[in-house]
Amino acid sequence: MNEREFAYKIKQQLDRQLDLDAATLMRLKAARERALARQRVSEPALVLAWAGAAVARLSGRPTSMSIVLAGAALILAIFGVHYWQQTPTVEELEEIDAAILTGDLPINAYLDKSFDSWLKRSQH
Amino acid sequence: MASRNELSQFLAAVERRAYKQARYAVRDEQAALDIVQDSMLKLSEKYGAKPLVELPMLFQRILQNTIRDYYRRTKVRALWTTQLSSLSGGKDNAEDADPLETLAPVEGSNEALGPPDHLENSQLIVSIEDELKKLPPRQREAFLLRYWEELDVAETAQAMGCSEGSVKTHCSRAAHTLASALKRKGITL
Repeated sequence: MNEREFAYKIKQQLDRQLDLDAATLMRLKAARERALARQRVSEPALVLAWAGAAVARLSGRPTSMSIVLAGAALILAIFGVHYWQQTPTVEELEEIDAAILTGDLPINAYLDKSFDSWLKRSQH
Repeated sequence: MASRNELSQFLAAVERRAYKQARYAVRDEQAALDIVQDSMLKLSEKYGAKPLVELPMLFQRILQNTIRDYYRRTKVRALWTTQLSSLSGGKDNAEDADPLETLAPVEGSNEALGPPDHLENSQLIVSIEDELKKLPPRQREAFLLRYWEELDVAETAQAMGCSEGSVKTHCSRAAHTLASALKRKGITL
């Protein structure tokens, strides 16, 4: 008889004596009910559910968490692109510096009042 | 996610075997009940939102850890009690585990058996339980998880926190020891 067959026979014997006395069964039942009363009902991933609830309360309509997250991501993306476009890159700054130093500035630069005031300040 | 009803059915299906497993391990009825209760609570509180298919392995892992915690606590308590008083009866619990206690009337599948067969069967079960209790804890754990709880090797390894190779070794040794012990008693399955 191999290990699996032997183990199966042991299992059969063990299964035969699962009838427990009433007191033990009562305690097991009580333990089960206590455990069920404290069942965790949601995964931790839903901790941001308050955001959905807040939007739903403001808009008066139930909103799912995915819509709130997608909206937040879109707003963040817009701000990101805007910031990226506004911030001059190193290359742009280099070009301006080189143009000033070589006197190769476009005529529009001299029409810019803030550039004019900067020139005057730097001459003092 | 397991619904309340599914979790209830799952716990009802495993509670008796869990109790027996704990009893083989700690040899104390009340402690075994406490261990099962703690395990159920931990499963429900921490993993109650997990899918139903993940529950058997998680429950067995919690159960085995709770049994190990009990061993640790008992060891520490025994250390203190022996140091504080030589009259301590701490060791009595293990000796109180009389196999004859389990000779309570067996119902259900054995109802069709006549009294002599019934007695013989009960004695066989007592012998098996007795030998299971004598197994080294890790071997007993592996054997019961693998063959009684019917977890596969990977799940058993995960529940025990060891490698799959160790599970196979523990199971093989446990089966060998059990078979030899039963043979010595003249029992053939």
